[in-house]
Amino acid sequence: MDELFFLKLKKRRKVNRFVRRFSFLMSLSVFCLFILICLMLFGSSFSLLRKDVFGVIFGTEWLPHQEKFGLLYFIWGSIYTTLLALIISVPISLFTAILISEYMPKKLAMNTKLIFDVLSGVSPVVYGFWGVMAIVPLTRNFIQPFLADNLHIKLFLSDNKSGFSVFSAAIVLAVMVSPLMVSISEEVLRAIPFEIRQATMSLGATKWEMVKKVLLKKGATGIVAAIILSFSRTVGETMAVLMVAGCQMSKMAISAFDPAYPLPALIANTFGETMSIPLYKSAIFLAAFILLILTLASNLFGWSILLRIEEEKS
Amino acid sequence: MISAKKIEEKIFKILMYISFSLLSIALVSIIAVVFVKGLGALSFKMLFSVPQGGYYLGGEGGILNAILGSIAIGSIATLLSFLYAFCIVFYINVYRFSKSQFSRSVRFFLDILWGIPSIVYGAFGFGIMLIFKIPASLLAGALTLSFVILPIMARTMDETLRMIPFEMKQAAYSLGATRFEISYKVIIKQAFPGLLTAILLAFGRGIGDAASILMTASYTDSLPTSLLRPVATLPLCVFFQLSTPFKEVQERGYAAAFVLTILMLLVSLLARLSFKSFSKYVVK
Amino acid sequence: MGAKQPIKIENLSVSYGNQKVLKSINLEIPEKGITVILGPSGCGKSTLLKCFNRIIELEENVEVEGKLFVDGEDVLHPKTDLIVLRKKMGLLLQKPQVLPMSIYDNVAFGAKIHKNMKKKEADELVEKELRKVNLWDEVKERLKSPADKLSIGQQQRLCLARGLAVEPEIILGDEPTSALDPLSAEVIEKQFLNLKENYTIILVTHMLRQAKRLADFVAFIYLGELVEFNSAAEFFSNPKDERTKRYLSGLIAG
Ligand SMILES: Nc1ncnc2c1ncn2[C@@H]1O[C@H](COP(=O)(O)OP(=O)(O)O)[C@@H](O)[C@H]1O
Ligand SMILES: [Mg+2]
Repeated sequence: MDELFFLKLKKRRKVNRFVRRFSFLMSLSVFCLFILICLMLFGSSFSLLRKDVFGVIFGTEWLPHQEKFGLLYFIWGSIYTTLLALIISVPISLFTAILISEYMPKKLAMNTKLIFDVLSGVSPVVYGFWGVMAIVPLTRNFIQPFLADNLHIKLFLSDNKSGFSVFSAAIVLAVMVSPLMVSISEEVLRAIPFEIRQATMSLGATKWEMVKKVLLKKGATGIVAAIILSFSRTVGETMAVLMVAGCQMSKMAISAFDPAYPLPALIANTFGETMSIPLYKSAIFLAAFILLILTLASNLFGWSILLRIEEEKS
Repeated sequence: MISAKKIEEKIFKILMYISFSLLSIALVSIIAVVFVKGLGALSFKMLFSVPQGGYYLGGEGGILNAILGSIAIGSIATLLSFLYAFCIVFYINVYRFSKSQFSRSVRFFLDILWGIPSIVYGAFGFGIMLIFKIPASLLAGALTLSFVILPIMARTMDETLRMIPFEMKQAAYSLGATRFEISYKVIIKQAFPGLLTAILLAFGRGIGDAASILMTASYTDSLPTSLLRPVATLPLCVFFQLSTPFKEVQERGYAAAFVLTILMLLVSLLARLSFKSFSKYVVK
Repeated sequence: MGAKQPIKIENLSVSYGNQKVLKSINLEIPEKGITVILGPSGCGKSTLLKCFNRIIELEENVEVEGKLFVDGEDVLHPKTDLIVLRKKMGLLLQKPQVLPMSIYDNVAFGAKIHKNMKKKEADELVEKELRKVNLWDEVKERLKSPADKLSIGQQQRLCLARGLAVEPEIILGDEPTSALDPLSAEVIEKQFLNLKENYTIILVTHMLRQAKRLADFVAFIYLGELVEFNSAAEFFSNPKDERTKRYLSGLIAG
């Protein structure tokens, strides 16, 4: 070990230390980024929050030029489309997940999941495109008239005959989120130990009975987690909803065929116009902040359930 | 008794097949609609010229601006987030124990960032731009987008690094290498296919995203020539041109949807291949 | 070459979490010849070996206490320069672990990070080290091909060459032949016998016969304790401890 070695060693050390410190700061910045996002959105909506929190969150009037920023219809729009999407998607996804995990040969199951995975990775705008091209006309020309004619309940009666509606948005969202829900539920079901299945099967039960009595019971919490996580994914979806939900101001969607104006669509649509009116800007940032809180809370909730399941197992 | 059980199973099995078929049909019909509409709108002029006389109104011209713009903004955002993620994942896997409290917290926060909707990133980026009075531009859009795709990039890379054999690290350390040397001379080579997958997945997500760049990158009719000017992108091309009443302009939206879908499917499939030709030196 | 003074271990204890794996080991390893660390699997041999170059620190939840002197310096002291320490020792693992690069680069890797080298120098070094382990003739035509393509026996020799290329004083081997076929194992054993003139060799094994073939000194470890240390002749012909006797007569499973 000569002088050259130690000379180089010194240099190597220096490089190593620099890289260590630099990448430490980069790693720390992940926390900072998250906090910065929260602070920035909260800070920007603060002037409006200070003025009138309840009036904004529970207000129904959206008249920016009169400084009225009721967000309730938008929040409702988000919740309505999302819940309807989940109502459509949950049974379909669950049945599909059971089919894949319990009835399909392993290889086919893998390939199916792969294909779902690839297709669900397509751009949200393409889903929106599909919604405009296929679902909206389908709703307008067939589903809405059919349901309105045959079931005279408020849920299906609407003046809006365009097809751009809660219902169309929910269908598109349901298709978008189903692959995620299938994949989480499938994993939950697959993780249930072999011995438990076997015990039931050997008593002469059909496979479906085993699924019903054992898997769905054991997997219930996991499936709830899947639904919550899917809620989080759906409620923040922007482009597809913006394209098919109709997005009309100052109207509360009651019927499934009414237009809705969910929060993300509001943000996307109005950002450009807000710059001159300070409170208007605040309102939009508040919408973004509410969205952040909603997704964050549901993600944390969903993860904590999944985590608890894992801990119980070990 | 037995037959009642059998009938119940039959019914539910049929329900399962119906659900599965509905979902499959829906997903496949997305591709089908995009192909049918898109192929009809496709032409040489469509792919290789820019719109003439306003993207909202003018009928002539194609979507070259959006194709190149998407590739530009996607590549820049991918590069930025790769460099960022690179530092993070090597730090939490090489400089710290993979399972240390610190590393796990970083992963947790990456997951949190993953869960934030891209429109919120868009609002965040736009808010920052308002504060510093930065106009919408390719650079601003790419930066915002790089935050959107950071989690998917970092978590995919992280999974790869955690698969590096422990013995390989032991062998490298016992030769007297520093952590930095081990990172960029050994681990990088072993992890190369995985890193490539991460890059492709992130790029695919990046070119498909619209909500985050709607306000930060804006839109334009011209080709992306400067980092400091707005840029056109395929998703926004679909979005804007579909909402016009003019048939010719809408055609551009169809074509854009087609190109975007093909691009994303290609990238997605590529990301899932096992990069045989790039993994020459990888130790199995 | 070789260590300049005996390697001294004083009160070395190691635990993983709250499982104590090594219990207050005291040992003096001579600077010449092959010292074999013998013992049934799971008794802590690898753990002991990994303390020498402090690779043990790569494990999580590990706690090391005591002193370990190499060339008169306490290796376990927090201020010890790990790079200098590790350069002094070449480590052979149980399963040969080549690096994800060409055969040539595997050998040159260690040397190149420590010293800037011209291409010619590096070429010479690679040839020299590969000849030392009898691998040169087998691979000289394909130095640029991935090391992963070699057979397991060849890989282990490559790992040995890689370790030798950083000019160590001490060679540590953790059951380096146990994953190999008998022929390759024999080749490796031969290398060790050749190398013991110039290097201090510390070899972990659970195979009695291998110990007999190679050892100049034997340290017998059982359940985390050093039971007996002696010259090989003395150890095998005249064991002192009851546990050693039982192990040698095959009553303790190896
Ligand atoms: N990383 C680790 N974490 C926890 N326990 C370990 C770890 N490595 C080894 N052990 C335990 O320490 C004991 C000794 O292991 P080791 O030194 O590998 O034994 P040997 O090499 O003699 O077979 C074993 O009981 C093993 O289970
Ligand atoms: Mg061992």
